[in-house]
Amino acid sequence: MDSATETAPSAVQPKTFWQNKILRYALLGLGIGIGLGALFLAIRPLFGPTEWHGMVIQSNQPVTNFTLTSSDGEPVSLIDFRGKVVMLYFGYTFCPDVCPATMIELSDAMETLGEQSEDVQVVMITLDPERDTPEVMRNYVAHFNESFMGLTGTPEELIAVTAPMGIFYERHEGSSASGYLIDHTATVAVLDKEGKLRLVYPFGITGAEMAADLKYLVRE
Amino acid sequence: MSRRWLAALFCILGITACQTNRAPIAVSEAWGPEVPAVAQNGIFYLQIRNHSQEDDRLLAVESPGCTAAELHETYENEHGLMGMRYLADGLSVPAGETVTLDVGGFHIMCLGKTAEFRAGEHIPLSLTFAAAGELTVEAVIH
Ligand SMILES: [Cu+2]
Repeated sequence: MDSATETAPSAVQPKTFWQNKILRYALLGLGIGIGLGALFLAIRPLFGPTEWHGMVIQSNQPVTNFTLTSSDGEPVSLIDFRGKVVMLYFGYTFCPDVCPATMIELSDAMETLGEQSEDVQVVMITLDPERDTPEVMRNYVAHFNESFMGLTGTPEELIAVTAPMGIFYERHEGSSASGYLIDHTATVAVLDKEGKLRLVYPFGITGAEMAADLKYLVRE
Repeated sequence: MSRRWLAALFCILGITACQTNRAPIAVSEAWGPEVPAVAQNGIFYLQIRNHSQEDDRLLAVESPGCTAAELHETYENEHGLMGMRYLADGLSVPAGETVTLDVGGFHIMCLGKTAEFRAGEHIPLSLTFAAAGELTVEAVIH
């Protein structure tokens, strides 16, 4: 009985309230605004970060497939990694400065990602097949992360792989103690799950910066 | 965190030592990163402070942990390729200035490492300066 007497007058008030056009539109606008805001927040991660940390590349096609030699001596092709985000780094184990520093950052990125790192494959490709045998590559990359893969190839195979990706390198003589050294593009290339080149990181990128981008790429 | 504290401690020790001894050259924060056992080479980084009124020059480095140790500089050439070169004339340390050897710049390349570059190891380094003569420090691997 009580509820009936209470609803009666209040049923009248909303009617007059809804008859106020300005208020009605204002409320409608507010509702739509909140709805859109919530929708935007929900789908926000699908659009990627507001700012990527590397150079953003627009690719329509996957990177041309290549086959190199794995650290077990078996052939490995780029398409074998389809479905994973692939990070390619070209270097050589004789280099003690730039290459290990980059490998440490890549290892940090994997640690930051935690479980999501299972959808990322880091691949180091040697530019010095003369010194870097499959066995050397295996032991070298494993030091940084057990999941990392090290690939080798013949000089001809390596040129065919690197040139289309904008990776260049040249040998030059060092001292008598060091022997030859290799100048090389020290960037990290990031391929999405479809094998398309998406990001290129310069030397000096941190693991945290890479991990921030990878979080979006693994969800695509 | 502990690495930063250690660095701060070394810094304080370095300054105190130089103020009491009035050593013209102070070398501090000598360290090297861990290196995979399979890698042929290691690397050292450090800081050199010239407290004197005279320009000096680091000419050579030796270490019992390396077959040969060389002063190197990492560079990026006009085509964006990164590499390193041997500093045949040594490294200039101007009067009153601090020269830092760090990742991606100047470094001491440990060619044919014989020591283990594992966290916690200490590797002695002997630095020869044109004016200040020979100085020995220990690089900490971390
Ligand atoms: Cu070097």
